[in-house]
Amino acid sequence: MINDALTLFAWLHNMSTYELVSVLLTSSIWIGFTSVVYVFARLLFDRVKQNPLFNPLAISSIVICVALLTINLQVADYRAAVTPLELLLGPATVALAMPLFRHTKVLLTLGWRVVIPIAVGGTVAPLLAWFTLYQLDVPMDLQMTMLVKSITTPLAMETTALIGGIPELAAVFVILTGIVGATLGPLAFVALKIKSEYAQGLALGSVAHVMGTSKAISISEACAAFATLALCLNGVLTSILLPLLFL
Amino acid sequence: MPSYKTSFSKPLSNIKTILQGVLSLAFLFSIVWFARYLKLLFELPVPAALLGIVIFYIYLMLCGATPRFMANTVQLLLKHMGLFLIPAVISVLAYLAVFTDYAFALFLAIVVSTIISLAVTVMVAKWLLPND
Repeated sequence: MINDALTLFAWLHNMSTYELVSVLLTSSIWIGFTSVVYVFARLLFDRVKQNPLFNPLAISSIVICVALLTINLQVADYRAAVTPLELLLGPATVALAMPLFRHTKVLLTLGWRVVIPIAVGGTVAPLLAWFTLYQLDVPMDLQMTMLVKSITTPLAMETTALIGGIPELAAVFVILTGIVGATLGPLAFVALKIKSEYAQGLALGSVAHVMGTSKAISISEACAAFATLALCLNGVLTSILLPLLFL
Repeated sequence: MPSYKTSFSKPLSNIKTILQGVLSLAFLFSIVWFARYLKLLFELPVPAALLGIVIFYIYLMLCGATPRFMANTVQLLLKHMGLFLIPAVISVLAYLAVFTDYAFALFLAIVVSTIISLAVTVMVAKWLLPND
């Protein structure tokens, strides 16, 4: 971290004032644009009575994608410009400890009844995805990469490297799984007539990791607590078990 | 419920809200960095993000409740987690080329299997959990 700060400092020092101003300006413009799109996506989400298909994250990503393609800006350049926004994901993830803490009592009373669904979600999701690819004769490295799709990105990238997959692609699979889970998952719950917020939280957290958890936050705080526990347990279990299976 | 409405008639309380926000963010960032440091130091197999959750959880346990100065910021960060996830989602764009080769297989593996897994998990959870 200190190294990062020093490099950043040196880099900023080597720039002319003109360059510095232009970097800061580009950054503010893209962060501003992203935030405005997000705010409108949230307003739209409330307008359609919180229909899960209008997930603010999905809608704003699509709008920004279209904008980037229209003006032909490289994804890497956009990502560099909005780095401060991405950095905030750190504290936001840490903040998940709060719903978890507030619902500790319920979680402890339920005990293994909570752990088993998480284990089921954490096993079924990767195995089913892998089996699909195996049946369709997709190359081996893609098959291996798919196994990590239900755990959080940094963990998925480390684990996939260990079992012979492609780290960058792992991040993509993880993110797509998250988006699908957060937008289509709630529809599945409605179709199955499952109203239990506890059960929804466990499914969202164990199958769709942090994106599912961010959806759970909008359902209720209890739902968020269950999703966070599922996210943590599944992440730790998968990252420990997968390498053991393949080494 | 904490609210982030700024009132212009009470400038002092605005300053207080902003200071609390800055302080809480600094606190949460230091947990993130401390978690990364611990991970490097002990070469732990768990990701720094999960370690961060555990550290903050222990802190909350020691306090007994969410410290009042942090409540607003924590709620705000959680509520708008989606915003911080946007850059990650956009980065998927750069890899769209892979999907043209195996589009059908990857669609089945990501979309269909994720929905089925969610359905299976939620059914198991409903079966095991008492009604809430």
